[in-house]
Parts: sequence; structure tokens; C-alpha cells
Amino acid sequence: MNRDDAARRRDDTESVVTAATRAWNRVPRATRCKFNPKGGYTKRIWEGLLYHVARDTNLELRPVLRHDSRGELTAAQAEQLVAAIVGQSARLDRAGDWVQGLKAARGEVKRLRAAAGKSLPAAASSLSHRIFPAAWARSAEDRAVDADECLLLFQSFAHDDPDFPPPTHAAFKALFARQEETEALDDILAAFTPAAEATSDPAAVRDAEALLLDAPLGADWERLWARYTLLRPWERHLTAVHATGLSRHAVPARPTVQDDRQDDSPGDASQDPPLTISAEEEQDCAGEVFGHSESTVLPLDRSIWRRLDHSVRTLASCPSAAGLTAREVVHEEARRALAALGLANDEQRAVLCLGIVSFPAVGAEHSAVLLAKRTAVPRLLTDLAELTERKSFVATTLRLGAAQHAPVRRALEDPLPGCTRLLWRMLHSAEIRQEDLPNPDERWIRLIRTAANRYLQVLRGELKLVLSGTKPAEAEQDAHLAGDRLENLADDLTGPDSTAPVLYRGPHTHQIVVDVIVDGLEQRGTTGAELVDWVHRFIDPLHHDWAEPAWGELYAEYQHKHQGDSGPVAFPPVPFESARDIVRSLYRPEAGGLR
Amino acid sequence: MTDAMPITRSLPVLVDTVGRAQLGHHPGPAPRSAPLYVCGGLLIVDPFAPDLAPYAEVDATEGEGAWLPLAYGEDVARTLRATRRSAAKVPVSADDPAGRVLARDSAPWRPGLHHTPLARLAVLMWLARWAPFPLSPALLDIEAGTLLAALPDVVEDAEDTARDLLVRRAPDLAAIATSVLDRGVLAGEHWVAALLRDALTATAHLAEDLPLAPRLRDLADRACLEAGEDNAADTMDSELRRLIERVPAYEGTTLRRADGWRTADVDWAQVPPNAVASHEGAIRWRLQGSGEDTGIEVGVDAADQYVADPVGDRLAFRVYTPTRPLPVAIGALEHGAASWRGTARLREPVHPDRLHVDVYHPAWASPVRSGVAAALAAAERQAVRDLMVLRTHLARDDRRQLVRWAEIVGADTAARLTRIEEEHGLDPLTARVDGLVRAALAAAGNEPPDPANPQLASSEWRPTLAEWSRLRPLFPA
Repeated sequence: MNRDDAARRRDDTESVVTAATRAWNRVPRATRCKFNPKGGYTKRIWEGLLYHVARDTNLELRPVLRHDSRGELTAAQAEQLVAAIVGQSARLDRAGDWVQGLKAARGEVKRLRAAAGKSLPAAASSLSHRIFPAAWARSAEDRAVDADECLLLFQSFAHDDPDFPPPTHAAFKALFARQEETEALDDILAAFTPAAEATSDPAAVRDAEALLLDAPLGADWERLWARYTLLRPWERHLTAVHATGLSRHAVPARPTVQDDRQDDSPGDASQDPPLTISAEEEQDCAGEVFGHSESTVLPLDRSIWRRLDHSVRTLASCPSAAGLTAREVVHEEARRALAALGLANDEQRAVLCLGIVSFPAVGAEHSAVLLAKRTAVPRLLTDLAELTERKSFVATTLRLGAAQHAPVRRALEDPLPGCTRLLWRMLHSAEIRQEDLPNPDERWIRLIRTAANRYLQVLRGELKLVLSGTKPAEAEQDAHLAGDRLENLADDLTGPDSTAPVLYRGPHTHQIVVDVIVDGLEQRGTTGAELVDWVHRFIDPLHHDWAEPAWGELYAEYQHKHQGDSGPVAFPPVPFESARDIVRSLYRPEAGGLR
Repeated sequence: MTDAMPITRSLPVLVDTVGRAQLGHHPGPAPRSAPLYVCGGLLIVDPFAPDLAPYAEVDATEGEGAWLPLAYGEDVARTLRATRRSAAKVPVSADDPAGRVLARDSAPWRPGLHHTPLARLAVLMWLARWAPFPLSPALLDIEAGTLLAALPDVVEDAEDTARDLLVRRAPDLAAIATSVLDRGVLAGEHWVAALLRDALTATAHLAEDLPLAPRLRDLADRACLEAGEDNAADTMDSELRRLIERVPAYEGTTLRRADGWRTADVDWAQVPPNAVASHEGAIRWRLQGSGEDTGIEVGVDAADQYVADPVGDRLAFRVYTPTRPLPVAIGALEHGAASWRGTARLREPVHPDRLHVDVYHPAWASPVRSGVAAALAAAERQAVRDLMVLRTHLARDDRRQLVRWAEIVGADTAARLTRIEEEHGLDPLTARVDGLVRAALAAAGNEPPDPANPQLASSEWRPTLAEWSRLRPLFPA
């Protein structure tokens, strides 16, 4: 976490425009230039593109985002917005291709109409208003741009589209005026809703509907809509709304369960857990959680996501859970779902709590869980972030050198999954002291802090080593011990499947990393601003999915290029994580140019 | 020197939604802060004003009980409890940012009973890492162990750490104490005698099983009683002259020299302590060859007392141009006679005026600082040097030199920081250096003391054993 990020996090709020600009500038420059010749952020970029990207990919942000980009976000929401947009870089690139195709179609339509003595209709003249959302919608499928489809699509813009932008006052009024009764909406929705999904609280839904109906023209429709969807499973409503013609927006795919298991066969029932679980099924699950028998329980870290998914879904289906507080939900979850595993203790609860926040699909369905997400867990995570930032500050202030260990940095850069994984590993491997604290809040925070302190003690050990002024031989031995501790920690943090991080290497490796990148990119004709953009993206944690294969490709090319007749030249192996750390330390920011 | 009377100052107290409390004002990033882990929190002492109220972050659930009144006094501890109670009554919305301040108050601050050892320990650790000359590791250990032994309830694992340090250094301590007591070096140096006595007592207590323990106890008794003639040579003059010598204000990364060599400055944050010389312009470099075969030769002055260290043997340099995001050359530096040397080939021929040479250690590396940031880094280094000179004058109780120091620093470092502040934005270091200038004049009797400035007569400003040893060597000849 650099100083700017830390300062931004300390600020209470950030405007939507600032956050969106920040996010847009982290999208690859080549992609940005497809939407805008200079690649810069404009209001149209927000209204036509980023607004839809953020809404489609992050449900939690929906209530706070406005089409006109006004409003303020909390620091956490701003980071979510940035992550949501930058995380869609690949799809944005495809959308950019569609924009190019639609621009070409626009030229074609214009030419044809000019030949017929007609001008382009006003509704079709605005690129961003029509083309950007259409391109974004088309980019959901990973396929090449079809010129004919672009032409047809653009011609359809000539007709006015009353359903765009999404739910408006007029559209709602039209719908309800047609049906005249609020119950009619339920009928419409029921026609498009599976029978198994009964509305849990019809009175609350009706209240929300009444609010929608009675709202004046100037009401905050986004907020009303958000409240309404909160009360009912969102995908059901969106499907229904879409089907009733209220909106032509494609229904976004429901986020799938993120699964870190690599050995699952396709079609495994656990990949698509049922929304409701019967008592028998629940009994089965207690003994055999997602296909694994009780006697052969896998390490919990291998299946934490699906365990959370399963357990919270189970709880959400229980009518008596409706009035539970956040903590009661977690306690109940620990009692019900995890007692069979003998892990219904504080560490399980803490991990569960952290897991919930990392798992938006689950939280969105249950108001109690949503409450947990929005109160307790961010508080704990903030607490942890403060701790790690503090350690980082001490290491820098006392010139402790390599104290900024790679996994710790990763946890800081990528706080949500990083902290969750970190805490899970720590909590799972540690024996948490059971101390009697009268306040459950304190107990929770104490638990998290204990776990966090375990890995931070390594840094403290380094401090002691430095202060102790040991003789060189002892220092070397101690340094080895410290190194072992760090390496063990690295294994502990990253797991056996990930690339083991390499501690700082010498200048020779630094030179190789620079050569791999600069030679490889120059060979591709990448220079100047594009090179700066490439390096900037390479060290951006949100571009991890792109950067890792990009590094692998360049490194393989470099090895191949230096392979002589007598065999390959010996290079130190430089895994992606190490390369990124090295580039980060070598990268010269553009600001403050050299004199 | 006599202890100054404790001065009452107002201290802000904040509690946020995470439950963390903040006391005082943060002095800023390195090298403006001397941090110290304490039980359930972090204490940050300002090395430029260790006698003033430190900044602290106190966690929600731990540590407030024992050490807070000892470090900050009862008033602050009471105010914090009340602020926490107020914060608990503030409704917290789910939409609130987690770090929002819920309650704030201020409390009168007087140094607590443990303020002095805490401040001295923090400054000692800071000196070990930032002093522009190497200090004796043995004396640093001995004093750190002694201070830790006095702070068992404040610093986590204090007693164990103190035992480790003092037991390891017990033979050194015995030899030093025997030498100085036999030679009578401590004549008139009651403060140093007291430090040595405390170290001997603490070591004898913590290392009761050592065969040396009875001897240490005897030496402790002698340290209390004995005094002799102060006949040790003053060895600090040459070092001090080097530190006092002013360097031109930062004008960029290179200065042309007649013989084709250019100079550049080392960013201290990117190298281990005591690996390279601490003066400005310690890097020399020149281009070799031409066209595609252009290379660069770099030399860096090594620290005077550099001792090869397994951690410190990997210095390197990197060369930047204004247009490329990554270096155009990277090379290793090998330690030779009094300097580090290395060469590398440039990726492309570049005019030397456009090159920026930066020395770094792979484990300390951070993004290169250039432009205003480099000027600020140079001013920071100058401020650290000035602080060390001030501490030396204080150790000698030399009022004339204090006045001279204030004049030089006021006209140079303070003015330099002010210029950077105008261009770069507010920097607390500017006010701190200004405050030190006025404090030095006050300590010399040329100005009335100002409670807002550091009080140089207070015990937090007294020299550490290691610093004192540079003036009057404690080790046997």
C-alpha cells in the first residue's frame, strides 16, 4: 500500500467522479483509446459505460451510484468501484472493439442516408449515449465483432428506446398505471418466478412497492429501487422486470461461487448449490459437506468458500433466522453447519465473518448477513489494515530493509482476499487463547488481532535482530533463521499451489527483469507512452490476471532468445511475484520528472 | 545540566469507529519519527523534540491499563477513558467509514514517570539507524537493554529482550566499566556514571547466573562512588567539522566536474545504515565509450568504519532517463578500498545531463525520488546531520557552539526547508527545525525559553552512552 493509498483511505469520502477517473486511468491505455481518442475520462464515459460496468458487476454499489455521477463514496466503496471497473479490463477491451465496429456502422448508416438525402436522426447521433452501453452489453460474450450485427444494431438506434436508461419514473408509472393495482405486479412477477421461491415477507415487499408508486417525480428512484430489490432476490426481480419489458438490459449473470479447488470435476453439485436445502439435505450436508465425508474432511482452507456458501444459504432458508442480529447469525451458523466438524469455535466464527464479506453473492440475499457485512466485518478489516500499515511504517522509519515482505505487501495491496486468506491460515494453524472477555465485540477483535500479530511478530523479530547488534557469524545465523521464518510464513500465506515468493535478489536479477520486459516489448514495437502504460499496469494488483501470463510469455521469449547452440543460458528463475516486486521498486513514477 | 520543569501542554485525544485512540500529533514519515512498539499500541517520539509529547496509537482492547498513565500522566489517561465513553454513545451507521472519529477531546499533558526512558529508548533506536556515523553497537545494546529493563510493563517482552541484550554484552560492559573506572574517565560526568551504574545493576540483576555477576555488582558500586581526572582526548573534532561543513543547496542530481566525473547524492532511505558515506555528493560517476557501447562507471564513498556485513554487501546502482519508466542500466557495486565501485552498459546512448544515478540496496529499494522530492530528501538528510551536531554540542554543554549552530542552521537548513515547503506543501519538519533553532538560542541564554519549543536542558536530550563514547572513548585503549 503506497502513501497515496494510505492517505486516501484515511479520508472519509471520495466523489464518484474522482474514484471513476482513478479507475479509468488504471484501465489499459490501448483499451481507453478505443472509447476516446485521447483515452481520457469524460462525463460520457461514466454515463455511457462505467456506470453500467459498476452496476452490473458490483451489486453493493448499486444503491450509491447515480447516472449523473453525482454523489460521494466512502473509501471502501470507492475502492470497490475501482476494483469493479479495473477488474473488467478484458471485457472493456472487447467492448472497445464493439465501439469501433459501431462507429464504423455509424459511418456506413450516415453514408447510406446521405445518399438517400436524409440526415442521421438525433437519437442515433450520440455515440456514448447509445453505443457505449450497447457495446458493453455485447461484450458479455467473448466473440469477434460482427460488422453486420453492428449495422443492424446501429440502425435500431434510430428508433427511440424508452427503456434506456434503466428504471425511470415514467417506466414505472407506465407499468403500474397499466395494471392499476399493486397486486398485479406480484402476478406479473409470479409468472416469471419459479414456484419454489416464495416471497419471504410479502408485507415488506408491498410496502416497498407502495413507496415506489407514491413517490413523486423528483424522488430518488435509484434508492427506492435499491430498497425494493433488497427485499426480494435480485435476480428474480431483474428477470421479471426484464421479461415484462420494463428494461431491455440483459440480466447480469449471478456471481458464481468462487472456488479455489482445482480438482473438482465439472458438474459437481457443489458448484451450483441449491438455493433452498431441505431438512434431509441439511442432515446429509452435516455429515458429508459437499461430497466429502466427515472422516476425510479436507483442510478447511480448500473449501472455505463453498462451506460459507452452503452454510449461509442454509441459514437464510430458515424462517426463524429473519430477526437475528449479525452476530447471532454467525453463532447460529457455527452451531448448525460447522458443529459437526468440531470447529464451532471463535476462530471459525471469525473466519466465517470474514468470508461473508468476501462473498457478495451470499450476503446480498439475507438482510442479517448484509448487516454483518456492513458493520462488524469492515470494522475488523480496518483494524487489521491499520495494524499492517503500522508495521510497515515502523519498518520504513527504522530503515529495516526487507521487512516489507512480499506476502505482506500482497495482503496490503489486495486487502480483502489477502486478509481473509491470511487470517484464515493464521487462525487455522494457531491455538487461540480462550480468554474470558465480558464483551463479545472485544473477544472478536482480540481474536483477529491475535492472528494478525502472529505474522507481524516476524517483523518484530527482525527489529530485535537489528538492535541486538549481533556479531557477523551470529547475525548470519539469525538472518537464516529469520529467513526461514519468512519463507515458512510465505508458504503459510500463499499455500502450496501458488508460486513461492522469492526474497529480494541482487542487481543481476533486476537487470534480467528489466531486459525481459524492455526487450520483449520493444520487439513488439511498444515504446513511449505505451511502455509506461504497460509497466504501470504490470505493477497494478488489479491487473494481476493479465500481468501474470504476460510475464510468463515475455520470460519464455527471453529464455528462448538467449538459448545458444550449447543449450539454454542459465537464468535465475524469476516467478511473476518476484518480477512484479522488482519492477515496483525500479519503476519511476512520471510525476516530478528528473531535473 | 539540570532537568527542566515539566511543562503543561494540551494534547488532542481522538477515538474512532475501530476503537483506536490517537494521542498527540504525528511527527511524520522517516526520518521525522522514532517509533517504539508498546503493549497494545505504537508510540512515536519526535527525534527532533523528544521532550515534547509523543504521538501514540492505542488499540481498543489492550494496553491502556498499565503504561498510559506512566507515559502520558493521569490526566491524559482519564481523558481517554472519558473520550471512549463518549464514543460508545455515538450511534454508528453501517455507512460510516470505519476510521471515522467518533469523539475528540484534549487533555493537559505532563511527562509521565516513564516518559524519559521511553523517549530515550525510541531515540536510541532511531540513532542506531539514522546517525550519519556508526555508533558503538555494544554501547547501543547496553543502553537499550538498560532502558528496556526499566520498562517491563510498557514494552512488550521488555524483560526478555533486555536479558538477551545485556547477557550478550556483559563481558563488554565489564571491560568498559573496569577501564573507565580505573582511568577515571567519568570525572565530573555524573550523568554517564549514572547510566553505567544502571547498566551494571540491571545486568547483574538479569544475569544472576553468570560468573561475571559479582564483578558487575562491584563495578556498579564503584560507578556510584568513584570519580577521577578527565584526561581523555577529544576525538570528535574532525568528525564534527565534517558534519558542520555545509553543502550547497540541492540543485539537481548531478554537478559537472572538470575531470569528467559527475556527482550525485545517496538517498539514505534506500541503503542500509552505515554502508556508504553520509556526506552529500557521495556518488561519483562518468560515462565511458560512445554509441552503442556507452557504459557508466560509478563509485560511492564507503562509510569510514564500514564493516562487511552479510546483509549490506549487495549495494547496486540504477540509471534513469526522464522518458523511460525503468532504468537504462543496473549494476552491482563491489566494496573496495574506501569506496564501492561498479560499471554497467547503458541500454541506449543518452546525454549525461539527462541521466539520474541512484544507489540502492535491493532490500531497501523504493521508487526513486527526483525533482522536489529529491530536494526534500536532501534537506531531510541535512536536518539529521544538524540534529547530530546539536546533540554533540549539548553533550559538551558548549553554549558558544549552540549559538553558532543556531545561526548556521537558521540561515541554511531552515531556509531551505521553507523554500521547499512553499513549492511542495506543508512539512512539519520545517516548523521543527525552526523550533530547534530557537531552542538552541534559548539554551544558550540568548532568548527566553518558549514552552512550545523543545527544552534542550531536559533529560531526554542527554547523550546516549554511544554518543558520549565518541567524545570520550569508553573502551580500553
